[in-house]
Amino acid sequence: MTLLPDPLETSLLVLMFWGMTAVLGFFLLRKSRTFLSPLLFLLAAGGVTLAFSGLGGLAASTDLHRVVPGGLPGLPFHFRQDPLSSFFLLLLGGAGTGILIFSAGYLRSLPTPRIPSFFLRTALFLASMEGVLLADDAYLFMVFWETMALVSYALVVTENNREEVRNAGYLYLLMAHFGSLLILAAFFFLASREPSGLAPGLSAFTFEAMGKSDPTGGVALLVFVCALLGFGAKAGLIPLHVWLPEAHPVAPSPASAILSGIMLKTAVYGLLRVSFGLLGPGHLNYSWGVPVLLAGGFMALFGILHALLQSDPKKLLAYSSIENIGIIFLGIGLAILYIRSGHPVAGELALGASLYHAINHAFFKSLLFLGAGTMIHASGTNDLNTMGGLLRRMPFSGVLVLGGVLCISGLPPGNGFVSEWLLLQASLQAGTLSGTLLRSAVLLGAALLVLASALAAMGFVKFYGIGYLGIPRSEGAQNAHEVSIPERIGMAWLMAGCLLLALLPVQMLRGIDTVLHSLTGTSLPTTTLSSGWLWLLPLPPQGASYSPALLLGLLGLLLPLGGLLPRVFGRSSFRKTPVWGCGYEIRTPRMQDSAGSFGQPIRHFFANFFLMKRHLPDPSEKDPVFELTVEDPHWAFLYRPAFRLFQGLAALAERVRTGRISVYLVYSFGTLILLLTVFRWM
Amino acid sequence: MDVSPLSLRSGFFLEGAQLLLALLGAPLLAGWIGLCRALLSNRSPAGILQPWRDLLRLFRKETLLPEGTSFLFRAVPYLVFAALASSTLFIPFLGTDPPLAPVADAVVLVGLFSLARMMMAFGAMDAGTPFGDLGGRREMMVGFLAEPATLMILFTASLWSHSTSLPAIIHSLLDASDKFHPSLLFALLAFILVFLAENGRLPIDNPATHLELTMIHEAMILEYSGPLLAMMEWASQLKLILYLLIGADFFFPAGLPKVLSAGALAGGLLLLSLKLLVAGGTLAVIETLLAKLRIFRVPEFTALAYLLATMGFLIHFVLEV
Repeated sequence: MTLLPDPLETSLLVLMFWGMTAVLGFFLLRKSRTFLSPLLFLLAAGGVTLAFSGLGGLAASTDLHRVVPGGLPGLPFHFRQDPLSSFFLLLLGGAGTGILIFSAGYLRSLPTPRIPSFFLRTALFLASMEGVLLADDAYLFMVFWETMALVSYALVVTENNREEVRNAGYLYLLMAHFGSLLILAAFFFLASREPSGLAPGLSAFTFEAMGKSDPTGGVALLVFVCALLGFGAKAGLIPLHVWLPEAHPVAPSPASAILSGIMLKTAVYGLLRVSFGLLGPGHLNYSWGVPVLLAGGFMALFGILHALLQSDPKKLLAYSSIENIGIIFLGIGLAILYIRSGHPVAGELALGASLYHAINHAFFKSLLFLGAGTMIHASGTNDLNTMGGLLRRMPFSGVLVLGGVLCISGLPPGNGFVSEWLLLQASLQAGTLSGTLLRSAVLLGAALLVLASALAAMGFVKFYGIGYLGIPRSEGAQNAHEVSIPERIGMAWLMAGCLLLALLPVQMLRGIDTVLHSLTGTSLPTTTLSSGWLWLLPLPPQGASYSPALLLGLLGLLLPLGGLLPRVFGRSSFRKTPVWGCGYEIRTPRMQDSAGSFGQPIRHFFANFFLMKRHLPDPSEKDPVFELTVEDPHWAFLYRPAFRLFQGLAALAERVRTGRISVYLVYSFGTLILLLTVFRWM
Repeated sequence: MDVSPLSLRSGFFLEGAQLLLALLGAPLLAGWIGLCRALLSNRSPAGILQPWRDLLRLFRKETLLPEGTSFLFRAVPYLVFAALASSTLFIPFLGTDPPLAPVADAVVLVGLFSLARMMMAFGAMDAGTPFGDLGGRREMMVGFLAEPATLMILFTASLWSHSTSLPAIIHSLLDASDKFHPSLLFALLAFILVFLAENGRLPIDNPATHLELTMIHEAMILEYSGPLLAMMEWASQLKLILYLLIGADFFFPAGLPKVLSAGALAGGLLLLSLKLLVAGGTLAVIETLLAKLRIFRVPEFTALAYLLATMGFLIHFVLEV
């Protein structure tokens, strides 16, 4: 018996703490904005506590339950912290802390009237996400899920005086509710199959009861599809992704970071909870893995291609989130396929890689969104074409963003590389599968993954090269200053998280293994987990190995070698000169690449993925302007026709409404007769 | 980690020799290719030592830094050089099992090349000139398909060992070298295309010109001078020889010593030099025969390599299992 509270108690305390700080802080901030930084640091302290609670839960692989009075009659609030929850709590606490510290510096620029409500929304947003991760019955889950959706909507429309922001917010709300309905349907199908031993009624809606239900194949498929689409709508599953690149960028940067870095992961959590936790791996079919896998691969490619064409840095990052969620889905599909076709080792590896990528993405995407915030703040606009030369003016944050860029591009020895490497190792076990079609699907997934990852490198060369390198393209970028101390600490915190994840993969995998064990009952190979912190050996004995720490050490050792050579051979003096301009000394910022021109080869080569409208001016035109608009084809081929259909239906329904009371009475009477007839014959 | 058959000292020796030989040999190979190209186009060659003379001269020069660049511009040559020099430790070419090979498998190796490419593009874009941006953009454009193609080739070669560890691949290929593998043939074709694209050779890029409309690699390093330029040049020569060494490992592994004795090492090294000379000569012939592609055709070229490699991969499961 220890005096320390157990992980679940700690998490619940943080939940209450965040909730109370949100409300108290709201009133304090209305009095004076000086409370802002201390309040945010308080929230961050909660985040650190939460991360430790998650770590503790993972280390001890605890599975704690708690029932709190309240809720619906017959259905009190159920809370539970199992390893899956612990893992995502670690993600939420770890990445959230960095974002909160950053906000303490960043929010100073927010106009005073907006501060109290922004603080309230941020704190409630974090608390509701934590609630989603801890909820153990369908009612509580939906309450937190909807709170999360509403609060994040409020965050998205923070700058609600702009029309594009209001539109993006509306679209987000629409999609969020579409997804919620499907999730509710998934819960309903699961609960309606209650086992005979339990009393019927609301108690069937606890996750425990759902986990014991034994749905038939058809119902299981229905539940899986509802969960995939419902949580997919939140995660940006194509074609339900259109809101994501609209809504994520318009929120203030710390909010964008939470939305993209953390909230998308709650959808991943939900999908894993329903499919592996409630439905149970025994009810999944291996063939369901194939569409999930291919959808993930397509998302990865589609997301990064569109990211490459954006000139708004935050929109670029939002599209890149679609890519990364695609990689996570690819891993989940691969896991279902492998585990259910009798290859548990490869399957565990794929699922583990997926979880690893989820936490990686939380750290580097949050870092990059915060970085994008500082870029936008520095240049005054959200257009890459007004930036440039920021690294010289903001060296500290510039180097941190560079680290994030290298990590997200999946380059060794970064953390993004570790998860992508593990996923590739899992894919390469395709030879053990039976059936050419299955193998081809897995290999196609691997081919899409490497293509997307190479394109990501190009996309982030654009992001960093145009934003931070070269010479400034605007007055604002010319006069940019380094960001404030809390902002630097927040970003450095996230970078430190990336580094730990990059250099200590075995430690992380040990934590992930407890999650895998609790979800599927099997584990990663013991040699993988016991091989020491230096060596990553996913598929012993003959499988490949990788040692990020040694690689970094060797790179560090060889780095000065190049510097020694000029000292050995001769001179090492430096002189500043103008750049080579073919003999001319004219040099303007406009001579550099624009964001559009950098993406031009991609637009040219992958033309089928975009809907482009081009206007080439005629030579005789007085004022020739070249115009080009690039659009997501889903708008033209899916959403606008759907909107038109709904508008048409609404117009039809409108005809019923004549405004004359006698007609309405006839309607009521007809309905009554119809109902009576129906009930008579049923 | 599994115990290496080598003792620590001989392991250090082997790795040191790999690093040293690759660093010294890379400019020589470039010299040999230049010599062959000169002879094939009826010019009098400058000699096999010319790249070494160029490097030494560059190292003795003063560095000119363009105005407006950040510290990243100066750091890039070091990073590129370190990434490629460390790769020499992981590719087995003196013996089948260099002791540091478990640090990085084939995928990590491609990642290191990609790191070097990205760094080079950053260095180019930091100068803030049209040429730098153009070079960086084009290099990334070549890379986005060439890199996946390289990975698919590596995956094809790893099909027999079920592992992407380079020594494991080479052992399995050495054991199965008597059989004909159609998938490896596809992989070899793809490899040749990728090799040309990744190393900036004709028909993708002409290493001998500074014509702004067509240059890729030269545009990227246009602002570099003195020792920094020497490091960049040396790094790209290293990349060329590393690619050829990987190719020799995968497609012509015969003769690679499995045991570490003086005789076996000397024999292996001799055979390896012959392989490299033949490969360099073949490259010179290819470059003499081909004209440069339009820049917009380049993705088609690399896409062909990607498709060939993917086909080789799939064909293994259709025909060979």
